[in-house]
Amino acid sequence: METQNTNKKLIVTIASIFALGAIGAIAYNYYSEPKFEVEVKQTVQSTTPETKVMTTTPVTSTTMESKYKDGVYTKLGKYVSPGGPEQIEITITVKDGMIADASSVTKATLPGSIKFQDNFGGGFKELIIGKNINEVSLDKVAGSSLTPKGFNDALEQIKADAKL
Amino acid sequence: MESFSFEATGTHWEISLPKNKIDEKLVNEIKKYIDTFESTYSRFRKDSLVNNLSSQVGTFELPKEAKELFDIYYELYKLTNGSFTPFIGKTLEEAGYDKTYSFKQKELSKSVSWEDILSYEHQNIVVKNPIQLDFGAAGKGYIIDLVGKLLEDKCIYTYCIDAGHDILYKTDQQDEKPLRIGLEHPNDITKVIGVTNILNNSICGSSGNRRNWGKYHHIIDANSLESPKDIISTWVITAKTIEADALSTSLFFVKPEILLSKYDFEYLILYNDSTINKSQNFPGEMFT
Repeated sequence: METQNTNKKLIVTIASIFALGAIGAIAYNYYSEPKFEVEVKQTVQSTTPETKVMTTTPVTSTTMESKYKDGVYTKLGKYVSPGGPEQIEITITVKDGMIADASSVTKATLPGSIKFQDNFGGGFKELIIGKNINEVSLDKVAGSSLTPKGFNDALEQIKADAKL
Repeated sequence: MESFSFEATGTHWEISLPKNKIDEKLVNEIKKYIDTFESTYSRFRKDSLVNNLSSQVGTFELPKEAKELFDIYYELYKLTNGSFTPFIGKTLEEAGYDKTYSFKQKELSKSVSWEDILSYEHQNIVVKNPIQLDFGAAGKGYIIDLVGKLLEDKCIYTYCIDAGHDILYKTDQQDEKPLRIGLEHPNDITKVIGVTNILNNSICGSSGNRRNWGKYHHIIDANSLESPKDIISTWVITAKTIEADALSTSLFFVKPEILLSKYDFEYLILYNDSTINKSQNFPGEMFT
């Protein structure tokens, strides 16, 4: 369960890093394709056996080949914001071939980028999503008070007037 | 249960009662009662008590039921250091949410202290410096509680009152199931962000989504003179609807722990980055 959450976190991490570049583009009102590279080098290459052993007995973890060695990997992710190149430091802990932890450190230099990286690094929290009302079995819905009718009417009229 | 619905307090009401309890006499009595309450406490009603207190210096005798409303406003005024206040009426009108819904924004005056304006000892109130009062942050919750009491006076102890999505559900039946309540997505009314449930409790939600104009929505912090933007929606579950209503607004101004020092309630806060903060025992599940 924890590793599933951590994998989810990593997906969120990487998705958010891509989002950083896109957000920067929108903020500057100028679109450029963000170029993004993450270098995560393993310090030791794992080797695969030249022959495969077929067996019907269950494979225990001690005989499993992991693509990555256990350890803590820290690398700089680079991307290009419209204001210039930026970096963010990512640290990933690998244990038993799975990601056990992930974190980031802000390395941006531009104020806008610093803000975005800080927000992102502020903690990998679960994000709330919405489901369609008809997919959920409900008796009632609670939310902010339904707008006073007069309020809505007046606002619509004002908007219409403002367009003339 | 059977339901009947009508428009009142500027919104849609639906009241559910056990079968055969609904009759025309009761429906009319409830509507009249709500109308009387509104004509007393609403700043949008000409000649309301609230408007009289907002425009005249002097000593006034308040109706008996005014006590609970004034008490909770004074309590939360102190707990929030004045961010939650009945004097927000002036601020709302200056921001444009005035009696004619003009939405013309003027300069906002600095907040005032309770002691400078009122001296209150139920049932008497002394108005020293009149200022536009507004009790909207707790008024709807209160009228819901009062309608509940009206029903109980008639020996109806099982009822659900839904007034514009502020809900009170009471029952004296032992085997009744809780009501499943969807938590409305603040930006998409076809969606819910989670499901909670209430049984002998009320739930109120606050959000800036429905009433907003310019840089304001209808929740303004009297101290900063701004509409908080980091919190998108709040929900409170507690026994009294007046408290659920007032606390859901207060959560925009102060941390839950401050309010928990005086009130017993469950809460859910949704922030603008789609994360949440909820009390440990807030029932139900959130969709993530």
